[in-house]
Amino acid sequence: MDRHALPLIPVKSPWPITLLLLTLAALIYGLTRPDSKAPATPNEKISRRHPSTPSELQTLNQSTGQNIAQSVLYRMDGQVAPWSSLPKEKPMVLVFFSHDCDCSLEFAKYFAVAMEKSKIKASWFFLFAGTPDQIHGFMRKAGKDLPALRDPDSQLGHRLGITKSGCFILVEPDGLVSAIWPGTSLAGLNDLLSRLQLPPLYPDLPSLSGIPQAPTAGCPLQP
Amino acid sequence: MSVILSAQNLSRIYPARRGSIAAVHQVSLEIQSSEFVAVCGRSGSGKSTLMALLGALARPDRGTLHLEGTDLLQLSPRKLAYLRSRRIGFMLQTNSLLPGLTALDNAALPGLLAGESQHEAYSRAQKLLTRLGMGERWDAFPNELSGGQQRRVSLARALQHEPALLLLDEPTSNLDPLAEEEILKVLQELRDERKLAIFAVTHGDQLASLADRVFQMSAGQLAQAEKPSASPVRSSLIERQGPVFEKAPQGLATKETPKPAPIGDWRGPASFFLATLLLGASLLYSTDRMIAWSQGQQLWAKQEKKRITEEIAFRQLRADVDSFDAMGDGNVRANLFLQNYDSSRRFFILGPAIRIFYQANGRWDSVPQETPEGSDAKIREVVPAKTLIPFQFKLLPSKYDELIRGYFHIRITSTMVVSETKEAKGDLFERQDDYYIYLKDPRLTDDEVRRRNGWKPGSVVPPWIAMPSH
Repeated sequence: MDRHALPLIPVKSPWPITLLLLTLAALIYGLTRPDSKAPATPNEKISRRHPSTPSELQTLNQSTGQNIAQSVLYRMDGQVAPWSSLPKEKPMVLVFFSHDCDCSLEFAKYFAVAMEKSKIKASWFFLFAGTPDQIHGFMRKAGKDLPALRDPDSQLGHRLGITKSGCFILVEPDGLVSAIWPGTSLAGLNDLLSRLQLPPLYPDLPSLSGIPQAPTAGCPLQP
Repeated sequence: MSVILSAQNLSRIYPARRGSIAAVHQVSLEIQSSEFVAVCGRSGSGKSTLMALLGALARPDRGTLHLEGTDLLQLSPRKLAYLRSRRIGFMLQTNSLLPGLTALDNAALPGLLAGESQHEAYSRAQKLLTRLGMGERWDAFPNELSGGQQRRVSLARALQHEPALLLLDEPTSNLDPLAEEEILKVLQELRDERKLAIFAVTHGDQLASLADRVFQMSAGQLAQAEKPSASPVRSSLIERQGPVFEKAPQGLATKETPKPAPIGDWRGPASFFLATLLLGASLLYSTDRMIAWSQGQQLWAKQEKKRITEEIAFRQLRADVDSFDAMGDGNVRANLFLQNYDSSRRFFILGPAIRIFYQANGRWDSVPQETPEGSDAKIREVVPAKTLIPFQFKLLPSKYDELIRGYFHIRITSTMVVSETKEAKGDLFERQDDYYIYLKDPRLTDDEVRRRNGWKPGSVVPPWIAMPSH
């Protein structure tokens, strides 16, 4: 470049383009600044739910043989249902449910199949700690009209060492507990049917789809 | 007329090896506005020192100095420099033009440094240069100018900020008589127009003849002298009409006065450098950010894909032991099941590879499997319905650890590779599960198990019990 002409060259000012680029740089910085969206921490693996533990099996098997004829249960109308008022001609199956437990809702359909199959050989009652309204709500959600009794504060369940829903017991007419299953399972229901001298459930029934194979408990009983 | 400069008893003494030398000795001088004072004398007589003292470029050892009533010797260096840059114009013996600037830039410099606008400073500089016969050489650099031309530029620079006092040190040296005459004419005009006080140090009679008062300097002392008479050359020039400055060489003159290139404008070297630097930095930064952004996007996309695969593996894939069936003779047929919990998103797995162990003497011993070889290498889609993965093994150990009496304590390890695509490439995620199972020894009856555990008759003896994940 000719030195003489240097100041005279009609060069366009670099300022506008510099300012433009500075603005652009600021814009780029704004758009490309480190993303604050951190990847979510992976949740725990989806696996089995509430499998009954060996210690629960040990505890409940120790409770087997108790007599619960003195227990006080209540009907849905609020009336006391003394043991003497319950059917005596056949053994009873008592299922412990929790009215606000989704697991109980799922288990209900399996028990309904077993109840239907064994109603000739056993009387079935589903025990809840909740109020009649809460129990009716559960029935509506389950779409089943299950024979229900109230066990306020889960007194009977706690007496037998049952702390979770989905457990069920077989009671002789005189009130003797002959077996306590620590959770719901196909094997457990088949064991029950076997004791009632009935054939096992056919596992491919649509209504038994998803039934746990190992004893599986539900949510804790109220309170 | 008012007093512009008043100096009383100024003295300046320089130390020397053979004693002190009084360069200026008790000089008193007053200069009125519109007055032209010339000081003549031989070299070394103290003229230049006196001019430096009057211009407050040097401090006197004694005496007082007032400029337009302000005591210059009482001012701080900063205030003194401020006042000097606005009220006093200097034209020294050496031209001291900045070599990298054009004549116009040099002339405009005092105005720019005093904070004037570029337009104002350059307009005035251009007018002054034109008046001094340099109008066509405004774009020349100092080394392209003759000595006389440089003197004129230097004078234009001294007049740029319209001072009240103009100090000239041999202003017409290096000038030919004609140019000298013209310079003197301009000085006279400026003195009359602006009421400019001029103090000039000179050897020449030509300049002194135009002064209102002439002093003779000798051995640092000032004495008034008679004005010399004007030379014939001057007389002849005064009578001439029009400028006498030489024309610019052919080819250098411009047809029209171009727009000046002011120093403070963007074309000034510092500004240009700064702008270029910022431009380069902006370009580099923008490029760097764009590349970083692009790489970040790719990385984010990869991480996101990995995160989704992880999410599928952990939150969408349900896998568990489904069943165990004793087949006799220690043969066990079992199933794992797989389930997709979110039907809106498909995914595939490679495997699972299943390994079985049982615990004996506190160790985990592996159990041979009878699963068809290669079945775990199959890529399969996991669907919302349960997909059963059968496997078979034989377990009939003579000794085993019994955490529950009558039950084997076995561990099933399942390893699957989860992929969003059937091709199972790209970001894959390996999920490994351990399932702990108590499996009833098929050689024992239920009553035997009850007896060994102390359970009541009729109590439940499950064929197997799953343990919570751990």
